Amino acid sequence: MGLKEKWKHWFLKERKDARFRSRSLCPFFRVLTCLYVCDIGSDNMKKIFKECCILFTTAVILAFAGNAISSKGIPLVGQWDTTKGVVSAKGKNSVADYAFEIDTVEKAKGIYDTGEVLFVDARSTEEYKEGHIKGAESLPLMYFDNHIKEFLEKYDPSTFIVTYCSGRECEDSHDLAQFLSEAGYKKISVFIDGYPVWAEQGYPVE
Amino acid sequence: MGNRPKNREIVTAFLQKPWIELTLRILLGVIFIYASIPKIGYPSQFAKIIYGYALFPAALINLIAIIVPYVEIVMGASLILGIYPRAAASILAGMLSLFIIAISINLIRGHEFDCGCFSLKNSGLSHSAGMLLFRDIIYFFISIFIIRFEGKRSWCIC
Repeated sequence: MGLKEKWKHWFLKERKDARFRSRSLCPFFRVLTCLYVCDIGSDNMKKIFKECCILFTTAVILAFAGNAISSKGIPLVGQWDTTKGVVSAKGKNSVADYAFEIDTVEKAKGIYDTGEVLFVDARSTEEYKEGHIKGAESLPLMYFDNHIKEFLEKYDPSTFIVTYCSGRECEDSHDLAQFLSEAGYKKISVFIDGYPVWAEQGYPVE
Repeated sequence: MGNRPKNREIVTAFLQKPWIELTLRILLGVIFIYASIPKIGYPSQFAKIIYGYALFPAALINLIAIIVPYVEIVMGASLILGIYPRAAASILAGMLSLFIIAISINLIRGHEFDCGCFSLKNSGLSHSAGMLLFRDIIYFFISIFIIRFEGKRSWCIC
């Protein structure tokens, strides 16, 4: 008997055996094909289906209630279009303030060329070391608290700061802008395209 | 070969024990509740992670981020408390199969992503996607076991 016939024979035998039990250690596909059909009768299936509906409805009601109450709740639709700026769920605690944003790399370069601006890198130290906008200061968001004291001593609160991270799918630059403004800095913008686009344009990096 | 039926009977009898079902139920319940808490606490980060999977339409991302964590916590609680454990396990099995499909698709097309399964901080790729897949498949089988368990269930409104 060829392998294919053997397989077919075995499968048919299994199907014929109506009392086939799950306790025999099933191979993966048997579990999948016979998942609900073999042991669980149709009455039981109906019962389970009803219970599923009850549990699922409970979960959905709780979800919307919880989301409405939570201080970190999010709206039903977020901003996930990178052409319209940085992506975000637009939660109640969201820091993505679109008024802060510098949305094209040319604008950022214009500001950079004035020379009266400090670019601040929100990415990790490793990423900063691999390459960053020339003259940018590293202030990794994760270690903001450890670095801010030193940073405050070095730069006056009136400094014009532009934060950036790794692009429009990254909100860290917005978080950093928020933290810096809480630390006392008055003039802050966020360069949303971040390092990758800057480097792509061939603008000064180091 | 002669011993096989006997071994099989022993295994069968063992798998019918109520405490096994109870243990697995509580285990699965605890895992899912533990996994859901950070997602409930920080829905916007979770939404970001869902966006990172690059599989879902923009209009659905926030809805998924709102509903999925609560489904996890409700099903986890109902498994632990023994309220309709078969239904809860069925829903979890359904969800797990979706996770498995999502992870597999990203694994196949080589898309880097953060699973966001347990924590939401930028853990990067602390688990390899293969590990994740393996883990989800184990959970999937546990839920199938709970659905198909035929012995007496203890602590349960069934």
